[in-house]
Amino acid sequence: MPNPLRSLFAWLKRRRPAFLRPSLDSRSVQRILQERLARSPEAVEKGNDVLTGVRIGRRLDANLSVIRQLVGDAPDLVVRELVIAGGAGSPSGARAAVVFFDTLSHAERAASQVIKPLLYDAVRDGVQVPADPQRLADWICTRMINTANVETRADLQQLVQDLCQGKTAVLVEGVDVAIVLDLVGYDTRNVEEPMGEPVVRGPRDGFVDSLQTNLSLIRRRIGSPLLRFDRMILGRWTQTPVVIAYIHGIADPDLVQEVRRRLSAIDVDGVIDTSYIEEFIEDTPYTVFPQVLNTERPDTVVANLLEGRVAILADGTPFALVVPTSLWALMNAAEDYYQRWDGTTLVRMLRYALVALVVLLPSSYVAATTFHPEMLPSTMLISIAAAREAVPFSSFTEVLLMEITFEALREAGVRLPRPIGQTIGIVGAIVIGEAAVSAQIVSAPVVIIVAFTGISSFVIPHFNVGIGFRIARFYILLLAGSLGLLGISIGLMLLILHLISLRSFGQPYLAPVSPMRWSELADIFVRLPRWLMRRRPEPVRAPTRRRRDFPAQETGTQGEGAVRASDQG
Amino acid sequence: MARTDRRLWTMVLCGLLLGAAGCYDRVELNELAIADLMAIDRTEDGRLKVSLQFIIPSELTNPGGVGAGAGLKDPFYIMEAIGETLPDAFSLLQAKLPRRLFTSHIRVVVLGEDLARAGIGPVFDSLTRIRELRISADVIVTRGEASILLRAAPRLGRLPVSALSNILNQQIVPVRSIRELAIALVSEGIDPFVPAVGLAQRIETELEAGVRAQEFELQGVGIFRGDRLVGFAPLELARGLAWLVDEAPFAAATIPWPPPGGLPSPPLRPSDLSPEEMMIQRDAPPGFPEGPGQGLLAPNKITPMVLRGQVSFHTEVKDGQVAVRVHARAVDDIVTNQAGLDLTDPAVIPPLERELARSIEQRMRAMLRLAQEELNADVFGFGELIRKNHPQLWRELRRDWHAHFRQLPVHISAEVKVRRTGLTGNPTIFRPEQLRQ
Amino acid sequence: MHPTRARINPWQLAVLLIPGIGSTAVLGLPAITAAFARQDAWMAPLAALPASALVIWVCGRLAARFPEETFADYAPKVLGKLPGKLCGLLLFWYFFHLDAAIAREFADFLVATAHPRTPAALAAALGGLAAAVAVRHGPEILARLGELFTPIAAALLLAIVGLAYSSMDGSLLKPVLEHGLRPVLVSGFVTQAFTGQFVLLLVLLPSVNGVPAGVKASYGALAVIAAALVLVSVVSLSVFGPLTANFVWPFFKVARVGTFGAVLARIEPLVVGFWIGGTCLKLAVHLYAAVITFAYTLGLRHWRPLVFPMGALMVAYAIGHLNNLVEHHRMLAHFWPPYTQVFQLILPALVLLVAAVRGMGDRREQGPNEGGAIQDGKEARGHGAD
Repeated sequence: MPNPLRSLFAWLKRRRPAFLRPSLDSRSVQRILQERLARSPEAVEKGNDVLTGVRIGRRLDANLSVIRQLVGDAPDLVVRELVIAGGAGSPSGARAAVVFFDTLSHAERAASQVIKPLLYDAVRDGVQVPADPQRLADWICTRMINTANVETRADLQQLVQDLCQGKTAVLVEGVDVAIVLDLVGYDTRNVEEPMGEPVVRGPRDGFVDSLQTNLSLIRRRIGSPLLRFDRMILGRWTQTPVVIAYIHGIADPDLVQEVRRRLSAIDVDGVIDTSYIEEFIEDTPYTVFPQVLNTERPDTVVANLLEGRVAILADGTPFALVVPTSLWALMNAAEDYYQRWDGTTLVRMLRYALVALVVLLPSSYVAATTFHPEMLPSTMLISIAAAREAVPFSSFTEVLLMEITFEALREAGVRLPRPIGQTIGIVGAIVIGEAAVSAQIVSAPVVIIVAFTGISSFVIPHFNVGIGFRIARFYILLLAGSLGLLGISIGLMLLILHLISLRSFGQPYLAPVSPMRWSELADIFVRLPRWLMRRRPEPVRAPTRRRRDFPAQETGTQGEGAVRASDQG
Repeated sequence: MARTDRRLWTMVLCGLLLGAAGCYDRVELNELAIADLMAIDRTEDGRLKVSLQFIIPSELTNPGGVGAGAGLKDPFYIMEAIGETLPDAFSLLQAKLPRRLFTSHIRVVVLGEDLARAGIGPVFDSLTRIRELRISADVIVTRGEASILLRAAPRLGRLPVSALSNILNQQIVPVRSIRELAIALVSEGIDPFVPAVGLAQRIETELEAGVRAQEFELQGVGIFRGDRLVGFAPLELARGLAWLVDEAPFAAATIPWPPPGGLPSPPLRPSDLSPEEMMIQRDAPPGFPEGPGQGLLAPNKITPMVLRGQVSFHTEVKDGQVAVRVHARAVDDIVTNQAGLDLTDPAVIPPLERELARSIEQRMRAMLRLAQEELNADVFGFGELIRKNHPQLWRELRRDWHAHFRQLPVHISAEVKVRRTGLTGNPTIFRPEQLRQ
Repeated sequence: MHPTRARINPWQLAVLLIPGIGSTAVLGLPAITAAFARQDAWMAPLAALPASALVIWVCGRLAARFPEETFADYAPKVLGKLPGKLCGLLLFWYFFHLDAAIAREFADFLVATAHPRTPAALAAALGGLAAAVAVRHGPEILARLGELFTPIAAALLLAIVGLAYSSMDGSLLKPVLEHGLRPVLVSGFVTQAFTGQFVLLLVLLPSVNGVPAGVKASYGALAVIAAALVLVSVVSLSVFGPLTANFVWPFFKVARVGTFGAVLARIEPLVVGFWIGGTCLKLAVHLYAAVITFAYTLGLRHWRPLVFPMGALMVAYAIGHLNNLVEHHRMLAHFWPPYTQVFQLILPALVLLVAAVRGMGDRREQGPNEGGAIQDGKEARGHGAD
């Protein structure tokens, strides 16, 4: 069938009313379904119209056999058949089955909250069990089951999806809906300090791999009902729950809309980590600089939400994404906000100076020694010349070699198991450095420069932007080696041009430095004390522009704040 | 081609272009012969003999070689070549050098007397035009051949050029760089001068027995007229020159006390000692006059040290005749008081100051005499001063400035303030009653 | 995108114009003016102020009369189709020639000071490449580059002055007006060739949000450039005195003298780097002006594809049109000043005059944030949106 016709048919199929949909009641439907599934199991995949619109039937056995076939007789699927005490339809009661994956739920909870009430409580309390199947379903939902959330499903495909997500289903003979409860529970890590972003002062909890826990870490920090979580499912096979978090009234509605749009456009097999999402929603894929911030710290996420940004969390990973971001946000450590402002200001300046050094130091050394020796002070020139006497390589080759070695050491250090890793790192560095200098393969100044560059690159708080700068330094090194000072200048200009033109969800990457917005420079190279930072950053166009977290004036603006809160849409 | 493909290709090509393009100016550091001292002489047939002193970096940082312990070798070596012009000599020298000649670190240029007397103009064109030479390098002149100066091996510091540069920077005589000399050469109303340096013998020690032991010695100033050397001013007069160009020397100058011309009578000073006590002469052995130190040849001396000096110049025009007025102001510190002057008495200070001022004036006048009458070279820049203050007058005078300079009336005056007297008030060797007023 | 679609704020305009006009002026001008006026050369920028202010005024009036339109858009309207297009092409030629001259100066400077053996063609090509890449991103990106660049360049300038302070001798500036006012006026005329480059406003003003504010910002930029030129001249003259005219780039020599004198600070490479950056920015701005004028004179809708080819042509012309540095300097000193006045002053003034006489354009005074007011009976845009 030609494509447009096909999609038209599929669209029509999806929208047919209930009585037109095939139901598992009819044996022919059941038979056809089972045949098709036997032939091609991947027909279960969403989007394929085999299962679309198939309804659950009234016959318990048919339902159960189809379900078993759909999951391929999975050994961890528990089908607990039971008889609801006091139910009509048979002398002993209505037949029912509780179905769940015991790898995704806690069996004992299912037992105590679902099976036990169904088995005993009606009889024990002497309650009249309704005979009509429809009312039976309602009665079970509202009176028997004591879980927090209960839903009904009529669609087979949806039921199977729910089962795969860990929900528990109760199927009753004669009822054409399934009752679905959320008893999801499996082992996850405990909340502990995030490894990649430790702080000396500040909160020490970090995200874990369970979305539920992560959301709770956020919800408990923002006590406002305006905190919104928008949930969606991404990934065809993984069916990963993904949540968009934002504060309604502070975040720009256009931004939230855009995030939603980009996420729903993702059509991929699986979303294992938020980095998969990141690659799809970036503005500019062909750059070494990240346009999305990722963090393991709930307090970072919350702070960003308060500035009007949007966070994206996914199940199965402790890393949350924050958009939009800027280079300056990526260069901030969480600790900057918890220590005093004067110390932080100095540390920030040091950080930026060191980042400039990371990019420029090796290239300047190469340019100066190879192309412009007249620019070096005489004594330095003599030391370097003396050190380079016996070295067989050119300056450029030396530096390149040592930089690559350093990167190799760094990468190796990450991969090694922790006890060995540190030792090898130190020993490797010392041995290689010492040995190389003694064997006169490289000269001591180069080792110093490379070591200092490496140390400087460690001050970059976020790994992804650190990689960006590390790559940039190689590019400028190459230019310096071939063209000297001219190369560095041109290379730097092109790099800055590139950075200027980058955008993160429409917001310029280098804002507020370029385009220059004076009022927001309070948090870039310095950190002014909180009582001086009054306005939220502008690009995240919030309907209310004033932050309200400065203590002394709190009483003065209280009334104003109350008025403002109420006139938000 | 699809758009992405085209972009990719463009980037690859640009990358290749960059890789192939550069490397025109590449030179590794250890392919350079770094020169730090240059001496230029004139040969008999009028060509230039250029001697360069090159640094051996490995000797400097790793003396004696790795593990060899073979003893200290000189961290420099000298090469020379003769050519028509400076770059000519450089390229001839390159033929004798295993590495590329690198002159950007030359800190001092030494000019030989012959060359200086013949005229330094041509050489100076090279010195300013060559891109590699630093125009902030200092220039000095020496009696005789300049290349001999390169052989000195000063003890302090490993590089001779550092020692030379440091001597020049002691602020004893004014220093001139290529840039400043070039300005003087180009300007009409000023003649250049440069410090004159020679060699001095170091005292041999046990360790250095037999070893060549010569140090640099600042010997004064070489005076030029136009671009030719016309004479040398010794160190004493060179300090007057320093005053006259407003670069006051940081030096000590000794004056006799009481001054030869005598002093106005001092006010009577009450003594708190009885006449009998004053009569006691405890120290002097028989035959010697009273008071400590009277046995020395020149006992009655006071030495002030100039801390700061400022000179102002004024021009006066009277009936179409111009005169220059120079006024020097100095702040001094007394460092030696052998004359037994009572420095705790404020009344003592003004005559002392007047006498010190007179000595400075004398020095300046002596230098002025040398420059005006003997050498006829306006090293002080009075011509420029007239040009700046009275341009129309200058236009008449400039044609024959040296003749006018000879007759130029210059009024010199000085003023000294003695602020401090060192660490002690009164001399520790004199008893109170022996002090003069 | 039509330039009027881009949005630059007045501060960005100023900060784009300052390096966009001042970077080569700071390099090469003191030598030329010193050749004419000797120690009074520092007065030359002041003598050039009135004429440059006039240029700004003319461009401002033209932009006020024809908001949202570049010169190429309204010249045909004012002068008639053919003469108007001709004027547009003339303006394009001015920008192109100027850009080539800048590229040539850039290459000569680099080769003479830092890279003696590198062929000048390569240096010019690299500068042109960087400029072209910048221009392709559009005028907003250029303005942002200016924002980043100018403050640091200003700081560096002051740093050089500070380091050179000990070598400065103020008395070398005396006697003032030794040869009278005439040399000063002549060198002022030469300076006007540089500071009059504000004719760029014909292309840039439509992109500024608020033409009057943009014009004010341009006056400010002129003041800053003039002050910088005066400062640079004063410093060069007091360090080198009568030698100033002998050096091709005296302020660069000052930077070298200053940095070799001070023990620790070796900012010379930094200074050269910034000069390269500033000149590339100037190249970019003029290339942009040339491309825009060319495209809109010929009625082309898209100007972006023209950038790289125009840049290549410009570099080729830069290398080819002069044989050596001597010719270049002669041209700068004698031919360039009168030649550029035709384009900087005469051409826009002529158009303004005719427009005033014919009573064309919107003569209403605009507030600071009014952008495209619809003109009575005339179309607001000369070209369709692209």
